[in-house]
Amino acid sequence: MSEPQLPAVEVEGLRREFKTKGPPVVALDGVSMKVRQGEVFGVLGPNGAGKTTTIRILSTLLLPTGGWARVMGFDVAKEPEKVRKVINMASGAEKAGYDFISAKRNLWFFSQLYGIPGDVADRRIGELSERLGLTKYLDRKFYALSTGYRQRATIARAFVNDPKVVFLDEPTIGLDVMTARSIRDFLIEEARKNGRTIILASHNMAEVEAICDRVAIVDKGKILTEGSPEDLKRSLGAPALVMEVSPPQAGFEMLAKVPGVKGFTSSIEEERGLSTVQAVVDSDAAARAAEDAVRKAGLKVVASWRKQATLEEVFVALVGRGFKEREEQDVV
Amino acid sequence: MTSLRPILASAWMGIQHDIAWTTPPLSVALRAVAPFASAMTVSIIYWFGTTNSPAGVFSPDHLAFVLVGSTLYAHVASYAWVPTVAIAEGKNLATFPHVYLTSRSTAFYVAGRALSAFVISTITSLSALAVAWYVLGSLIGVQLPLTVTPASIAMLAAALLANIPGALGLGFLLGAYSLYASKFEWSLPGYVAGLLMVFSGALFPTSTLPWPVSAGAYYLPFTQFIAAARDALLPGSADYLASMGLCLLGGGVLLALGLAVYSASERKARKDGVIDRRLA
Repeated sequence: MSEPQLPAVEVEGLRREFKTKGPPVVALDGVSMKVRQGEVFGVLGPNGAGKTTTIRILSTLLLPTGGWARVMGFDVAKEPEKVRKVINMASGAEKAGYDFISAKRNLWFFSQLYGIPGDVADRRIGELSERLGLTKYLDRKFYALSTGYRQRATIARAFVNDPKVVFLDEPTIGLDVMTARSIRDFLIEEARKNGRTIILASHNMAEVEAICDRVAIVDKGKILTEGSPEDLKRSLGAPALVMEVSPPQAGFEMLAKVPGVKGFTSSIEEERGLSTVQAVVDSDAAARAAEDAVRKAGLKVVASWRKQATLEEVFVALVGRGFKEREEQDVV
Repeated sequence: MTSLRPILASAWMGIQHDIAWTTPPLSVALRAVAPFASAMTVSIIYWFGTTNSPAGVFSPDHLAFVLVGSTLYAHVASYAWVPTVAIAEGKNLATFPHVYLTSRSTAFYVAGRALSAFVISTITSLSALAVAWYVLGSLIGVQLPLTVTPASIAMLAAALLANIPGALGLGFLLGAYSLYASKFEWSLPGYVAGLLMVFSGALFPTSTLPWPVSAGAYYLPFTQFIAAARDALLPGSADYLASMGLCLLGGGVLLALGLAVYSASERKARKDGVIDRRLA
């Protein structure tokens, strides 16, 4: 009988507080999860949910204040040097690189910090650049690269040491559709063909749905739910209800009282003179009740339809609000 | 080799940062301006003061003392602060966290950057000394008593090398602050360099300082480095072997202290979450 495979990432009760002049800010509040080797695992949540803090702790940039985490069996707090030998990370917001040297020299420099022999490094840089469509731009100074190519170079750097686990924080943020797609294809291939574990922190639901085998939805430092995107969407029970309502308005609090409505989001479309409301419902009867509630409030339902639920609806069902509303709530 | 590779690559990065941004001869010439100006300024002040004051007594030996001291001081000042710059620049470009995440400590990176700066600084400060010697000789018509022989050059080279541990130690101490800082780190090395000018015997013997400052200044590795290097070019100005011994001893102590403080600062920076804090 073969031994069970070591989890790529194992986290138990992970907590992180940040000191402030006022009460401490709790960025992570008892996060527990397990990621299998070769899995693309998404950490999905609105800004401020604790995604980046999780990545920072797992990649040894930050110490937890409670709980523990292991990467490939090594404790991130007690054995950071061993963890660093098997990981790498990249952040889409940074596009980190030395401006005054070429993209190729940037990759070569980091390969040397990992102690990789020159010929191996050259071969690996060549392969990664080829697959990321970077070859033509390798000799350009880093500052002269477009945002998309800087990000491709950043992603190439995250794989230059042949890591077993790669942490990516919003890797396609601010990129055009084609660049984002080619990076996603690259990540899927790295997981499927090369067996790498990829932990992807993102608030881009389409991206997470497209490439992740499993997803943890996080909010306010806690994991709300975890599973494959399909299972999570299926757990809602019924398609979401979309209503176009006139006259436009912001508040639809009457929906909160309708039995079977798990949560909703709304937005105002000034140009069309109406509001669009998306409600997560557990049955067709709840959808009808929701429409009635809006009408009873003196509003006109111009159009309504049902749509396949996305991961945002899963979040709405759990929290009662969408990403945008949650972020606005935090600002207030 | 796997430990040497990160240091060599970091030294290469330092060369790229410091001189490869334009043609190397031009950038070396530009970098020689500061030590040259420093040497010329203090030398001319000394010459002018002693020849225009009724109580002043001009001595070519004293002028040579000041000239060599100020150039060597500029040499130390220009590479001991490189770790601070390397870290601050890495935070600015967001590259420092990724250096930190490689399997070697950032100390390898910092040491590599400092070593490249040592090589550049050696070339520029010795060039500045040679030019200042020639210009001063022409300007005031006095041949300064510098000894330049194969033996004196070898002694100077040995002194320069002996100072590396101390300069690295100071660099790590300043770098420890830089790891943690979000402001002020660019200017701190300048203030420390200012103190060194007073306390390292660059312009006047440390014995002229009041006790116990004079005793503390005497045991600084930089004081002993300047004394040994000066003795190589101005024989009889110090006890070369004793200065070399004290330079190595003090440098070793400072390096050990610098590494310990840097390592503690790195751990605390990780605990407080400032390793990847980006600077504007």
